[in-house]
Amino acid sequence: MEKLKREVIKRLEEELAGLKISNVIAIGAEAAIVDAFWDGKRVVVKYRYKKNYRINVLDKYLRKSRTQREAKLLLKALNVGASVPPVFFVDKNNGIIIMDFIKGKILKNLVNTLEKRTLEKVFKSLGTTVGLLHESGIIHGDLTTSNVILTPKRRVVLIDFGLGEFSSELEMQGVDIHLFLRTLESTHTSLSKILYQYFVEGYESIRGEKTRQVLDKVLEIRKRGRYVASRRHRIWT
Amino acid sequence: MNVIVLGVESTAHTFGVGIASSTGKILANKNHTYTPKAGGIHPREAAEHHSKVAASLVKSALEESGLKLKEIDGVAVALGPGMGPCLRVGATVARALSLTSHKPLIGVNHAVAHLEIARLSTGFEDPLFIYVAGGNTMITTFSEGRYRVFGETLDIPLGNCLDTFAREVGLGHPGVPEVEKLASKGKRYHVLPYTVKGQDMSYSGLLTAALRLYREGVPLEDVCLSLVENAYSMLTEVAERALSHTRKTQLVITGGVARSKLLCKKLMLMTAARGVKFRSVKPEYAGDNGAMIAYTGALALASGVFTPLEESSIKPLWRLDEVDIPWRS
Repeated sequence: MEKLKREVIKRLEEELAGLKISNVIAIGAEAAIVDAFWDGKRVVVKYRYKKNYRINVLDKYLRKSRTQREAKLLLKALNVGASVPPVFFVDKNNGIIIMDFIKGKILKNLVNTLEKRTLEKVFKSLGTTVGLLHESGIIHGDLTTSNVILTPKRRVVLIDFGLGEFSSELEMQGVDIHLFLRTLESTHTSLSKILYQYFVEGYESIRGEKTRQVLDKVLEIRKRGRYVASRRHRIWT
Repeated sequence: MNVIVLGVESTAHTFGVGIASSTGKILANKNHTYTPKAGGIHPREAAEHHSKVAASLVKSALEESGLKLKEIDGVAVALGPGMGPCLRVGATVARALSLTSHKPLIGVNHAVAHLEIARLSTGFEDPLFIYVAGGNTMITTFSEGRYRVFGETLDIPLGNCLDTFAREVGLGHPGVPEVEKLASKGKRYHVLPYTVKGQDMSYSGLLTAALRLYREGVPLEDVCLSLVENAYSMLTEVAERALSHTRKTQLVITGGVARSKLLCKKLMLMTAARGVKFRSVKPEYAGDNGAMIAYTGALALASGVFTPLEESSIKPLWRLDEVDIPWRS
């Protein structure tokens, strides 16, 4: 992993002059997340680096289209007033998105330390953000408390649109919230009901009457029983 | 405790009889595969094939091991997942052997057997598995008493995608080696659907698009190149996601498509970059075989797991993550 990190830093520095890399925060399967200074500003760089197991044409196509889609999602989200990291720079051909560095902590690690009133504010605010996204045809695709940053001034910022999509389908919105509810239940079990309630309040403040439809969809998706039953007929030998 | 088990495999096109001990000695591995004259596997014809070869395979497996039926501690059989008519032949043979020898019957999940034989043959203790065959495509690893499915195909398996393509363009069955041979001669890559949804993959759109490309007159070599490039890259990407998520340091590929050199090359490149160890199951245990059922049955029996006769009905849709694995902790 250390070798890969060094390689990623080297390549990124070659591709972007003026970028001073301080640290590789994470290397996922698709991209590296890098903490850096750019033009004196502290930034986060999401870098979809070249994968040597893929043929060049395909690799370029995937990195380009995914970077472009993620940037579009972020820009549209910003445009409708959702709380997501501002984008400074996009180089789709090299798979680079430069975003504002959001100072703060990952919500997942804070839930157990926060007071109830703060939790109410935070989860309502998150619900509002997701409501704004859904209202404008954006699906986040990976709604978990690991993808939420809480700033010292208690601003709630939703990050990582890498699995996001443009869609206004009820089904997609339902799946988005279903996944979030499942995260709450698996990682914040004892608080999950109340946290979900706060979230829904925030969501409803934007989506109004449509909230009912989406929540009914969530219930329907849950009844599918973690896909097992619905997948069964598709899996054969 | 060391036990010796005879195992019967008959989930799809292969009928196999193996004999193995719970300590990992493979004493016999006799298999015979039904080849369709045209088209894909016809379940009834495959079952007929199985019933014809069953007796002689049991006999030759016992001969190879040098053991008599009464010296064996149990009879294992793959009860699923698989094709009903094929499964029924194996189950009937195993029940008969169990009754005549007065030895316990052990129902084995075919997918679990592919994973266990891969652990045995690579020596990896706790790897992430890629199980990819004509009938299955999944990424799985052991956690809290069971093999958990981390990602899988949402529609058709990878092996099935390549086999069907090969058949439709006249390359015969099984198709994977032929498609790969042509792919290595391909010159130009054409962009085809690349469908990774989080941890899951979809291959049906890729198959349709590849066939369309072929019908449009694109050289077959180039279509094959583009098809395997996408199919294997998708799987490699999902495997990398799973490695990143689970932080496992070993990766194993098992199942019939484990013999694919192109796929293994991609996985090698990916794992080398991440500092993860990669091994492939031995070729003789890649495809369906009796030894893996025998070995898994022996592991189960040694931990006190067996199947009463009245509960030994076949399970064509038996999922991997429904099976408790008491021999691992």
